Amino acid sequence: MDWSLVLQEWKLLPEVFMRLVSNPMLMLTLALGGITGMIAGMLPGISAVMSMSLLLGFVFRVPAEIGMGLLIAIYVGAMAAGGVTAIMVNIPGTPAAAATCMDGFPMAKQGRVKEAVEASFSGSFVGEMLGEAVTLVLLPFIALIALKLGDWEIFLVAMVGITLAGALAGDNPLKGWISALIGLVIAMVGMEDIWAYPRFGYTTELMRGFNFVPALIGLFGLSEVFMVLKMKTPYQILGEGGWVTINVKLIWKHIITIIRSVIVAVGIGIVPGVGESAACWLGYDLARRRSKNKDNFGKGEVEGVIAAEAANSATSGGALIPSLVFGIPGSGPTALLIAAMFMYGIRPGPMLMLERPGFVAEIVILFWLSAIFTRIGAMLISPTFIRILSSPREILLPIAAALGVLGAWAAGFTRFDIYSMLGFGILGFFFRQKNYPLAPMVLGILVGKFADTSLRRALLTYSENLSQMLTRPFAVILLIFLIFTIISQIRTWRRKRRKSLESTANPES
Amino acid sequence: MQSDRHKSASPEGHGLDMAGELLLGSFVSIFSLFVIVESLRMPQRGHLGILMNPGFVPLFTGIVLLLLSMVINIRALRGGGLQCVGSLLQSIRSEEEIRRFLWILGFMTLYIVGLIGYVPFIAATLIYHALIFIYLKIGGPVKIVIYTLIATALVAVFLPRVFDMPVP
Repeated sequence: MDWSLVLQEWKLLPEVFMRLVSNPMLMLTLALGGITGMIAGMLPGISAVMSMSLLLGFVFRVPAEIGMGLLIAIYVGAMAAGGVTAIMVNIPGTPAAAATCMDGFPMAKQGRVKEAVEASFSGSFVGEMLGEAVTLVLLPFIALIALKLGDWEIFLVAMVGITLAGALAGDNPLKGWISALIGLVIAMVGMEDIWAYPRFGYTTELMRGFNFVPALIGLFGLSEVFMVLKMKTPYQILGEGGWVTINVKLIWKHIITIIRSVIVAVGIGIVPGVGESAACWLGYDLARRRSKNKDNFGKGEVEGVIAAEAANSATSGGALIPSLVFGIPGSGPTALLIAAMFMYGIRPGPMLMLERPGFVAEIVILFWLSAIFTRIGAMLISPTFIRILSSPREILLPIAAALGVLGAWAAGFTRFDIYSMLGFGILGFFFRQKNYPLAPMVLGILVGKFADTSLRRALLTYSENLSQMLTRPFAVILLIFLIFTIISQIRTWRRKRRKSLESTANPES
Repeated sequence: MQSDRHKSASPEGHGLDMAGELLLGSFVSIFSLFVIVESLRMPQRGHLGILMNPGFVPLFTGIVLLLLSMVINIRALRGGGLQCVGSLLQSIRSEEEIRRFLWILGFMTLYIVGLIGYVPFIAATLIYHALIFIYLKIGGPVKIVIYTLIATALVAVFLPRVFDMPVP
């Protein structure tokens, strides 16, 4: 990998751009794909991966740029829309939108729907554009770092992600970490990758393990249905709707937060399997630490929504690097993009830029164009979607639950997935009753298997000398960060607790 | 069973709150003990002893989970949680929110366990929506019928057609 190849992609950028924008069929495909992705992102259980995989069989009938464009537009659309359901229904459309719930949903409850959705769209738009640009500029440099990341670092990134999610998602880090560890245990169910031993495999379904989609729908979706509908008068989302546009003023005001989130997300997004889900929490945490309004985070702070969404969207850039340069998918959607590339006879790997000059530039431009088309589509359909999602909860949520059943079924076409969704919904309800956050559990389920396999593979690799494993440069940085996070979160929590006990003892002070 | 913030306002509320913490904390402790025991029962593999066993990560996770849940339990016991368990169980029985939760859960269970797979998916979805909308009193009979039909059409007809997927 050398800089001349990247310069070659930069030089080809204007030419490729002109070729793509002068193709009306491609423009139409991007617009339709963006809207399809947005609808998929807003419906619980109908994920970007599902929509992309359903259309995968169709794409090889059309030229490569159209097929890749369609898949990329769906991916970008679903990522952008995942934040809308997180804000309006407290159910993240995609796992990466979980951090958006933290401030987005309180904003919606305060009647600031439009502001929250605008912040989400603006943050994710700039995140997407900058994320891809950073990817293209830093491709050889980040590829070099990606090559240095081994199993041990992958494990540590997963731990950093769930530690941060556990600490940030609720009032009490202990409860967050308990939730994350339960998620890890759930991820252990089924055939493990090293010895092919079926852990906790009491039935044939358990030998397969829990599918992630029903867990997500149950924990976030069904528990929300139970929590809201148990109230005789459920809350209603009020406030102005209308056209949601990209708010340039808001972007400018929080540009530093966005840039910070983008850099973190691109850096973490390159870690296969765990990067994409962990990045939004890292972006959110950084924004909270550096913000003047840090006490307002979790209560409806617009900066929190922007930081989480910018990080969430920028990860696609980071996830692209291992996909294009090494052929290692960074996430589910990028795995499908790789599959599509193989279908078109394009081989991802170190030789890609030599064999297919301009292809990396083409992919980056497709992401950029998809981001633009998605936001135009979002602007047009946002009044309708805000109206639909603002409907009385007693109408909206039972329908969301039925959609969740369909989504859980579609994850593996087994009734076990629907039953497990119900089980996760009940578990989620009781956990939420006692203020245990659920986002860390979902993250634990998502990264648990990767973390387990990576840790044991790392132990095997360094079995002769474990100190070598512990002194790898990136691992040292991650370990220090992990320990610092745990200590600082416990100290912050204890300080907060002491303050709250003091204020209870002296209510007049 | 209200959420923590509402309950903690009075000393009695604090006790009930701690009793809830204790019950859930105990559930987590029992779950982590189960994980530890099952992990220890998993077979030995490889030359690195426990480090390479399939049960290594679940065992480690179970131990940390047990320790964390014990911290929650001890705090709940110190806060008088054990003395209030009886009152908590009594208050659960009389609370309307719990009754409503059980009804909603009942409709969901009927739909998922009792209807799906035994009657056509469209009929199952129609029955579920009709029952839950009637229970939640979303409006008069006409409104209930209209919303039931729209919701059923969306979930059981439109989306499966669009995504070309088999229904349960």
